[in-house]
Amino acid sequence: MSIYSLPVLLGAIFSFVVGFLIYFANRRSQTNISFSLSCFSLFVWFFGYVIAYSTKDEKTALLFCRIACTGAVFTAPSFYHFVVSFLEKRSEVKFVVLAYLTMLFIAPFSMTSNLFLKGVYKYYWGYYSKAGFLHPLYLIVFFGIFLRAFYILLIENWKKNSNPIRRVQINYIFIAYAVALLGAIDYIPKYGIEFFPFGFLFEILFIIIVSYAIITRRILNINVVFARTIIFSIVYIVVLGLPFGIGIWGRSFLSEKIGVNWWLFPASLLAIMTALGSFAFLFLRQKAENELLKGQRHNHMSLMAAAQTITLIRDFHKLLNMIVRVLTKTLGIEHAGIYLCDRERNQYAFCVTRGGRQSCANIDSGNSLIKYLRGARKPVILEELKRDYSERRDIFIKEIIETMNRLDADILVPSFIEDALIGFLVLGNKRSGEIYTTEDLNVLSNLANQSALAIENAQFLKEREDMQGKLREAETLTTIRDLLGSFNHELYNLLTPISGTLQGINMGLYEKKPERLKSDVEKSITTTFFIKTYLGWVREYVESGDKVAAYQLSELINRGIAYSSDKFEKQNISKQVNVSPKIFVVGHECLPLLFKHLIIHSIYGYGMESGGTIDISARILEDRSTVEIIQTDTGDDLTKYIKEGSTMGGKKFAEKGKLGGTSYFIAQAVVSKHKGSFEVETTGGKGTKFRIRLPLDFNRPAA
Amino acid sequence: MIKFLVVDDEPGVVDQVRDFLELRNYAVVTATSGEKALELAKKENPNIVVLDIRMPGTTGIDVLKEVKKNSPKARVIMLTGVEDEATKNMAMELGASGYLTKPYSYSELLDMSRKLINEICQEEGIK
Repeated sequence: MSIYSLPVLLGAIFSFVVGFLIYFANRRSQTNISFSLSCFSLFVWFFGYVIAYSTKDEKTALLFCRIACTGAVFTAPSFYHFVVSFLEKRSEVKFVVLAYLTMLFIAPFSMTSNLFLKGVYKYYWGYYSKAGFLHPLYLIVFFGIFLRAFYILLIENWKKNSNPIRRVQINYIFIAYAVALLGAIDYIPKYGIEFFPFGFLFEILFIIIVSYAIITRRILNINVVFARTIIFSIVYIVVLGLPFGIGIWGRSFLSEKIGVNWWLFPASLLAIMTALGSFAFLFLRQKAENELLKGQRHNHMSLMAAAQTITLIRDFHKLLNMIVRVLTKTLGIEHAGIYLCDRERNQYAFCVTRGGRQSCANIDSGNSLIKYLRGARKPVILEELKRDYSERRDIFIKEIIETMNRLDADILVPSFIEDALIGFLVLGNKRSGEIYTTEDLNVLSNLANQSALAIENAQFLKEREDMQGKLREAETLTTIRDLLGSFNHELYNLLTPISGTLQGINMGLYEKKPERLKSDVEKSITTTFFIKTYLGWVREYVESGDKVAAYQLSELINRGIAYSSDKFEKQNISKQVNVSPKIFVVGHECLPLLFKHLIIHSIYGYGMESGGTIDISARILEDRSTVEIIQTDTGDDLTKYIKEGSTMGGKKFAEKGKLGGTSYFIAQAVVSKHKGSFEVETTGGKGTKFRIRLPLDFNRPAA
Repeated sequence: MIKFLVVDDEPGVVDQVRDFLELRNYAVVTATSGEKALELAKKENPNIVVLDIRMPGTTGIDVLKEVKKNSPKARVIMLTGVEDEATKNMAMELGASGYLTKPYSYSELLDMSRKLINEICQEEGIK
């Protein structure tokens, strides 16, 4: 075997092996079958010339040149077949068949007659085919088929294909095809021009590019591939070329200087250069990719920064909206959405979307897609699944594809907290048409998992707030229920004389007592206003807000006194107030009602109708965080009621206080809301003493 | 003649009920406090007591207990401003004969009174 046939032999073996592997990768795929045929055609071509270059016998060389040319003849239709099946151009199928038939017609002539091949040349590398009379005609047919395929590839390359992965694949195949066309330089030596036919190298490159395009799961950006290839080539040409060059051209010089071991110098240099070469390659590759992928890297950094900040967002809905906004804007995605696990309903529910045409279907937890996400724990790309399905025809994959179509998802990125699938991001394609790279998907996975944490936090906070809201509501309702219980009682009492008056009029009770009618009617009118006041008290408490402010205690007490000032005067009740103006209490909007109603309770209470005293004092306790307010009155005591324990609404009468206890209840409710304490001391004949303790700041409860 | 004792701390209410019952030719005495009610209960020995539960000082429950102690046959109709099963049950256990929630209609009071009067008449063999 000659040294010139060695690279061609390697090419032949390579073609055969790739063809074999591609075929068995998917025997049902027309793309794989046609590409395998291309590889086998190339194998025959290369192998024929391996023998032709190596043999010393002209007849043997001619035979194998004919075999090689026969192989070469079928490269055009098989390449065309491959392009048509890859692009799924059904309209071109008949032309593919025609191309095969044409070459099937020519092939026997190539083997048996001198029309296309009339002999061999003897070149320095070995024997080579000599073009026959009709060879130019063959070239026209050959290139016609080749260019037809090239043309439909070109058209497809220009089209706006909706699938980015597909678009990138077409780019690769287009470039591969252009490279393959360069292999036509091998026809030049057939016309007597001594020119080593290295076209086989282009065909090998064609095989490598197409194999990559159709086999690889995660196709790289083509610019990145070019950059890596060029950098690799340059670096290793220098790394290998320099020592070899020195070894070849510096041999005599080195022998002179070093002696018989001159070879150690280039060998050592090779070792050093190889080691340095790998670092140089990585360094240059990084630089090149940083430049090429500057935009992408910038987006990734933005996403990584966003992943950090989203954990700080507590508002659940704001968080979800921020995530989809960041995705659509930073990555330039057509649409983005979030689905979250709804444990109660055992499904993944649609939560938020931004951008186009997304559906809002919920997904059951038993769905194939969910099972797949739980198992794979990585992003799912619709186009990759479709390729998988075309190879394996797996029903499970089909179901996943259908679900993704229903969700209008081009990519799904799962979010996990430990082993729990919290939810997933539903993403559309990039508006630029670029594919999602491995780096994109890694960054998205990171963002998705950070989002899961942030979402869990926000959900927890929301649930806690809802719970607190419910507790507050329940607390308020309990208070309102008690309030209404006492209020109802008083209201019914107040309505009784009004009802009695009206019934009396109806029954003619006042006919003999007209003066009574006037006074009863007047009382009824007064009572209606009193009812209005009562209603107002209750409503005032119920509607008071949660806004917090600092209140001057003395001012609150004065306000309470001022509210009932006419009663103080009318009932001749004296007051004594001993409260420092320096005491401030932090409280809700209802805090002023405490003092208003304590005073009302005392004033309207039994035993204060015609005189009495209300005494109010306050002091800061030793803990310096609590104020104690004491209000005493000289009205009726509650001893009897406490002792008797007579009940109303299931609670002891004493707890309800005087007058049905509406004011008592409001005062108690306010104290409770401010986490204070409310005590009543009542002694026979000595009125009632209220001892109220309030934290100066209710956020720090009183001791 | 059937005699009523009407007890309520609201004088207006007491007067209205008295007028209503007197129109129907019943004898009526009134009290506006529990203490006064007990006094009158002993003195007048009413057949039917119409009694407000909530009053200052001696409560309606106090009066009920005393009345039933001194005059077991007396009928007591309790009046209250709130529908409270516990209080109602307690009053009934203490011997109350009926229970009306304010604001009640006089016809309700009349119906209940008539029922009680029939019982009294049957007991005493009066037609």
